[in-house]
Amino acid sequence: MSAILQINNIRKSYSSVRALNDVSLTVPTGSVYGILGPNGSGKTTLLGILMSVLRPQSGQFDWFDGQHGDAYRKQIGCLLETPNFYQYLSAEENLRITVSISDRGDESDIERVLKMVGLYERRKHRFGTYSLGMKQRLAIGAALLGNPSVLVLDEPTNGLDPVGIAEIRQLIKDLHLAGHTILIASHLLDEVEKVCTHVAILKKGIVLADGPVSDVMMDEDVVEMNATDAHALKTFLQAQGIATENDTELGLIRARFPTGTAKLDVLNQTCMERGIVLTHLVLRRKKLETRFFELTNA
Amino acid sequence: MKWTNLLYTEWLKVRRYWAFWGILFLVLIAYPGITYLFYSGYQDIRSTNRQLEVLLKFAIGSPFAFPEAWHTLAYVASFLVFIPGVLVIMLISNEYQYRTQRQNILDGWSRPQFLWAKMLDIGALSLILTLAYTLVVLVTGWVSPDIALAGIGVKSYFIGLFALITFNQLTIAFLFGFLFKRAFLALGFFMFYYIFPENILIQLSRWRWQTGNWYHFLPLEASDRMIPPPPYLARITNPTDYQSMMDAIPMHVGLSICYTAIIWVFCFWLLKRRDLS
Repeated sequence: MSAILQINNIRKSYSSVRALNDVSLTVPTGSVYGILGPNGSGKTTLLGILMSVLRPQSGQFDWFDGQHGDAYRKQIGCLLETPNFYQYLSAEENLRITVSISDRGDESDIERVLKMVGLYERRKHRFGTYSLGMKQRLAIGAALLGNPSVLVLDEPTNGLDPVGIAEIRQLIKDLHLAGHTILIASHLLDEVEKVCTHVAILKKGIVLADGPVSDVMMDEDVVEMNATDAHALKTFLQAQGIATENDTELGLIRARFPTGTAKLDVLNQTCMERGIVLTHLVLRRKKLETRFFELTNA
Repeated sequence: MKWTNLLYTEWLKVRRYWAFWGILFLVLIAYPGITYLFYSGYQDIRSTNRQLEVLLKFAIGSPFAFPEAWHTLAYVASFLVFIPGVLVIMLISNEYQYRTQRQNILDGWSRPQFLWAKMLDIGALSLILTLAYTLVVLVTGWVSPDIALAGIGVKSYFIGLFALITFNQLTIAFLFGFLFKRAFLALGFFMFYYIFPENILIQLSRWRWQTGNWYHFLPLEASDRMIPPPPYLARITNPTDYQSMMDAIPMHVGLSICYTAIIWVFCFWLLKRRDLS
């Protein structure tokens, strides 16, 4: 998979605080790339640099195979931090300004995105009268103008109600299926886990882990097991040098294997050969939340 | 991106901005309003009695007839340039308040394009105000009882001077908006600068320090000196200086162009360097 964005050793400080420390990432074309981190981890700073509104102290990044200048931003739909529009203008008038600056979309496209984000009925109303959720929807609508191949979304579900959150997540999934590349910054683990194909975990400006979500989440295979003779099962596993722990609440044994080495069929057969009849055998993926807390020591 | 597209985008921003049009309307009626005030006052005094009319005509000539109307009304209107300065400060501080300056860049403008667009705003405003000034002069000169249409073009170069003084002083207003970002702060400092520091320095230099004419080179003073007091006023206040003030106009034009250019270069330099948070 080719890269649509290559980030090399980006460094940024605010007086004595180092916001980003040699951040390097590769965003594959067509991925939904989540940048995950607690508040103040540098997510928005990184996106601000990638969109050229913040200046890095050092390092560089290349969008679209090394396009330089300012023109690359016109190919990217962007929502950074807060929805920024002219308070005294309506949704429609604000989007006309976006079209005029970005050269993305036209009058019919404005109508399309307003319908898409559920603001068509309120299109003539002043932006200043909108609720936070409506403002967020309009910002997402502006980012979608002209159907850009890349979207940069910073906390896209901020201020939305549960229905709005579900709609935006579905929209992101649909855009991914249609081949768009989407870069999302979020502190919501659930959000990233549900929509992203790739993730980078940031803490205090340092990338702790990055790559496909499945790789980042699984630093080991955890197999939940039980047998008619649980004691015999545990003795057998320990004899094989496999780390185990008891989940007394669920009455299960958890066996830990290095990533990618747990083969359930082989395990089942070996147990059978030793007269151990398994009653429960499941390979569990670690929740991103667990992995995130492990990495960030939060 | 073409300059017409920048101007069109700026037009989209103000088209339905009623506060902007309201203040612009006030500015545009202030020009004929203040002209009418002076004009009718002058006519009233003249019409009091014949002797006074002769005396006034001898002392100050026909300030509202061509060609002197160009100079008189440029001088009067130049005192009102700070009012459209409020509009300029509104336009730039709005961009900071709503964070649309940052959004404009995110949407695809380069930082210089953002500033070129603002420069076009100031250029367009200067053009509108200059047209208003020209119209007021033409009407005033036409209705003046001392009508002298033959001299209509003689001092019409004041149109250019008025356009320049307007662009220059609106650029200074822009600088305050650009630096202070918040409208009330920018307006406060702009009005303070407009009224106090240079005037205090000038008075101290003239009457206490007696340190020569260095104050002619201060930014606002240089700008003001592009349109010196009309001859009849100069005859009253400082008769020997009038010709030297007229002779110095080209120098002050050059100086004002330099100050304007320096301010814009500084703004471009600063915007290129600073983070848009």
